[in-house]
Amino acid sequence: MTAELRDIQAEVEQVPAWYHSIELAPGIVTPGYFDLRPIVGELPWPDVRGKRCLDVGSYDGFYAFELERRGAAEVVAADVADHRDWDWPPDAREQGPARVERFTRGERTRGFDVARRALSSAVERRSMTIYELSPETVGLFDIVVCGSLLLHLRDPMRGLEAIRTVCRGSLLSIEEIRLSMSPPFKRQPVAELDGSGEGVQWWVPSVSGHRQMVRTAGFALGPTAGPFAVRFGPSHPAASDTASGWRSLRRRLLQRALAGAVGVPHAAVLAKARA
Amino acid sequence: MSASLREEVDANPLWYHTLELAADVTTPGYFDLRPIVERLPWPDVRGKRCLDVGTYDGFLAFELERRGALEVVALDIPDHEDWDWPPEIRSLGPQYLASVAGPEKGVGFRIAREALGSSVEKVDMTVYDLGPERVGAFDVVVCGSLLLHLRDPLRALEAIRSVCSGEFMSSEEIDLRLSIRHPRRAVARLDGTGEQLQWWVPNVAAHKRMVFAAGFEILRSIRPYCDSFGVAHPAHRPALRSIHRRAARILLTGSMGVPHAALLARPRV
Repeated sequence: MTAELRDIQAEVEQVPAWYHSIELAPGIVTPGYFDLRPIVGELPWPDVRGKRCLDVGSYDGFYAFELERRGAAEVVAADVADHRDWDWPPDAREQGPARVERFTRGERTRGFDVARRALSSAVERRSMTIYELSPETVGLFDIVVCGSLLLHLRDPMRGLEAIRTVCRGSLLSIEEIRLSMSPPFKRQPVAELDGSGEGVQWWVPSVSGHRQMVRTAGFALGPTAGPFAVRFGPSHPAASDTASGWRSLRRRLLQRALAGAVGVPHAAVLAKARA
Repeated sequence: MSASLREEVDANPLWYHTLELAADVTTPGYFDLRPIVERLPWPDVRGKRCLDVGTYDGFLAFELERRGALEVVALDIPDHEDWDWPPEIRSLGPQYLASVAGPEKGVGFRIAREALGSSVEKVDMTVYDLGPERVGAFDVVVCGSLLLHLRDPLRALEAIRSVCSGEFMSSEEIDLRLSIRHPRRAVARLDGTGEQLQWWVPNVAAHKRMVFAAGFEILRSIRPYCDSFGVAHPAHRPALRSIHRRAARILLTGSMGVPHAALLARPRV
């Protein structure tokens, strides 16, 4: 290993918590909660070459760096700087942020910064919530990508409407979906509500619920992909999950049959901003 | 006297609630809550400070007063613009409503309040703006058939929670089919398009989950029931699409109309 690679490795190890598994150099992959590498090629990507692009809810920046790799002219990565800015459910609002802090030790953007340096990336990070997106704050974008964010919002429709205000081209929306409420079982645009506890989960839609959300916010639907499974990375508790029993088995079988692998079921849609 | 009242009632372009204003004057509402009002899980409101959220013509507010509330505040938006319009019809929606219901909102409530000699206080405000610093705290809050019209029903319920120091009675439209398919899972149907101004229509479990998530615990709930259509509603003499749907609705809720669920809750967080 060269000295440069050893430096990168050392920096990676000092990040308290990685969210994304990102390959920073040959042989160096960050130990994330989620590994999007197996599914990134399946997404209905638009042509991003020469375009101004935005990644919303970027976290460690997986999609932002992917946009850059695909030839975007400019990439902005938007995310909150502080866990307190998440949409905490009322019953977790007091304790939740402090508990997350124990994992990240207050270094919410450390992973992104390390990855950006290692990749010699020019992605610009902006600290803001999705709700604060507007032409005044960030300008207009040809391409917007938003992944696994809507379920963490109390008002996902407001989030999507904010995206619509800054999108003059296409939105690639990749979101967790409920397999058991999606085809082949059911086709209705529905969502399951949680809204309690430290998972910070509000609405998880069916496949058609996800599409309805995007359509309602002012987009015309284009190519879709999925359902597919977003795999757990090595630091996710479920990666070493040995839960047994009929419910767990049924869930795994369902995921394998419909999403191709065990993980978090997702669906993706590429949509165009409607006038 | 009731002749001039009848003129006033007739002059209001759209009545939402069916209200008995005098022995011989009943408003031709879109909905008639009279058949189900006794079945709702009312708390004891005698001597209490009460709030009705999304009051429209005031049916539940006047009912609170009739039941002996000490003080009743009735909250509603002052303008058709203030609805949570879906982006698709945001520019045309308010005009459309003005053409159907008249340009001025709250006319029906004013007529009814005067006719009933009521002292309910009307406050012009959206549910989202509710806060103790603006309206104070209430012993009892009621809210009926409002959440489905909101893009963010959870934010609205949190605002209600912030002004509720006692009990909260919530009665909301539900999706019957989703309630049967998912008796325990909290599932809501998403619309968000069109003139009906509907966003989330929950199943019974999701209605409870919404109220719980906002920081309440559920004390009791009643079987699903139907809000009956009033004489003004286009569906009053319905050529219902299918006989089995009609039968299922009557079987499950006891009558025709819009399926609802109701519950009584108190703050937990």
